[in-house]
Amino acid sequence: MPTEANAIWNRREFLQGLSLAGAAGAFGLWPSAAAAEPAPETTTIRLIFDPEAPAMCYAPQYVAEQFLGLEGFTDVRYVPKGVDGSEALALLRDQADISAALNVDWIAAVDDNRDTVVLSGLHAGCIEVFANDRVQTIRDLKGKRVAVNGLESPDRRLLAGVAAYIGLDPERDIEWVYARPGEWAPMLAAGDVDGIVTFPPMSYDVREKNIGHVILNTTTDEPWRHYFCCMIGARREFVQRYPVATKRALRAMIKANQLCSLEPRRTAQWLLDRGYASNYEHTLLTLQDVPYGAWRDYDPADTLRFYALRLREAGLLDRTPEEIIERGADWRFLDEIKRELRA
Amino acid sequence: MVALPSQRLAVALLLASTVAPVTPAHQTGEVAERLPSIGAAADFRLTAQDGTALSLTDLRGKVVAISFIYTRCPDTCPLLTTKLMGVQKALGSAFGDDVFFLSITVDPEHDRPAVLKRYAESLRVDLGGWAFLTGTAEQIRQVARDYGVFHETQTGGDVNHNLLTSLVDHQGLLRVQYMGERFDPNELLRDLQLLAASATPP
Repeated sequence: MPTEANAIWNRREFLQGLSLAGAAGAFGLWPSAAAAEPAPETTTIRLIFDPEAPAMCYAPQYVAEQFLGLEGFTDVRYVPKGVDGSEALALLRDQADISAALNVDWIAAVDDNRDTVVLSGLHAGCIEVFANDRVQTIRDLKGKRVAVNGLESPDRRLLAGVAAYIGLDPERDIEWVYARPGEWAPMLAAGDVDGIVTFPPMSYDVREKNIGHVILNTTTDEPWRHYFCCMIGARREFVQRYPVATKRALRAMIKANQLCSLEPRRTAQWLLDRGYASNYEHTLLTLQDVPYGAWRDYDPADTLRFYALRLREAGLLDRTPEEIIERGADWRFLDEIKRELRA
Repeated sequence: MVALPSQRLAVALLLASTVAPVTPAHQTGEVAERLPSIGAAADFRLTAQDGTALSLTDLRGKVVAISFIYTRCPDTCPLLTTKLMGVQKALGSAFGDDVFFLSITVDPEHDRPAVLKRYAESLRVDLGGWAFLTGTAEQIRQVARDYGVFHETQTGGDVNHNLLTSLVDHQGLLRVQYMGERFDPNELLRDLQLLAASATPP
């Protein structure tokens, strides 16, 4: 069934763009001599790396730097994501073209407008919620203080969805304390808040300093471990204007994803050498712990559906899960890459 | 827990010995569905282990599997090569006649033809259907780039690179790429047999 997002692509664009090579081959349009895969329509691409609060589970996005060059991008830029902590919003502000972001970040962006498109999952797991001794489970967060980046931040949306899933009203039951990510662990250690949402490498730092204990781990805990945590998306305008570049950029990130999974030690060292990481051990642990291989096995639509339901339960989403998928997902690039790249 | 190179090699050897022959399929529809034409495979002309020049177009009419390795690679390359050896064995008489393997070094300064020849002989691969190629640094840089392989030489001679095995059909079209060395060898075998069968009139 054609989706609202897909309908924007007309037949001419479709044949000229993304599926030129694939479609022509499949329909026998190149009986003997074929053109090489088309070059990207643009050689400039902007991704997100936030030096203030680097998300190391996004390692494939940084490792992709080396593959983006091979895909024909000569001007690869990494930009910070901004004070709201949202990669999706950074794309909406036209600061970047493609990025990884937390699943709920994409869902919220799609709920608000249609200017971003989710292209693929990146990895499952990675989020851990730490709490002090007053809190043993997510349910114990009722009446407690939790540090988050802001009212509209992805970390707050995620925890609100988790809280709603077990019956809490995140608006009334949890007292949200707004602070920069670098302040969260000290606040938990000092007793200023009762819980924090962490992602690598922060989670390893918190654990190493013996601050609090884990009450939720989306890599291992049911049902969260069955869904993508972070997903890859792009600006819709970029996808529409540059379909070949979009596919090539996504392929670079998927190749990088595979490298993170297969060669964690070398990749960790590379991230350290290139300045994307500052702690080798924490980076290595991230690459070893985060389920990067999920990109091929998990269905990204399942993740959007599941988390959209959580956000609706939390009162944070107007649209239905199916509307979110129809408005904001385009799996054709991923489907083609899955057929062309085996692992 | 991270497996030691010797342990990983043992696992790969086990895998190599358990590759099962698969009945070739002639359905072109299945081939087209399973193995889309990505585009024309970039041609190259490099130097083989015996010092002769070999280009991709010299192998037109055969299905070619192109991988990137280097002889001093301590872990992943031997695993990949051993996996390919298992596939070579399973291909039987088709190996060499219908299917050809190319292993291109990403360490061309060290891996000169004589080094590659010793490497191939130590592995006891069938050089009737398998060539190990080297070239100038610029030639290798270009062919690696054309096939989407990143490589970067480290201090001490280690080479950071991604493993990517590309299948090129008898017409010179790139059909699929395998990432890493942990893929299912039976899947690779099936793809090679499908492509070889599709090149032969039923």
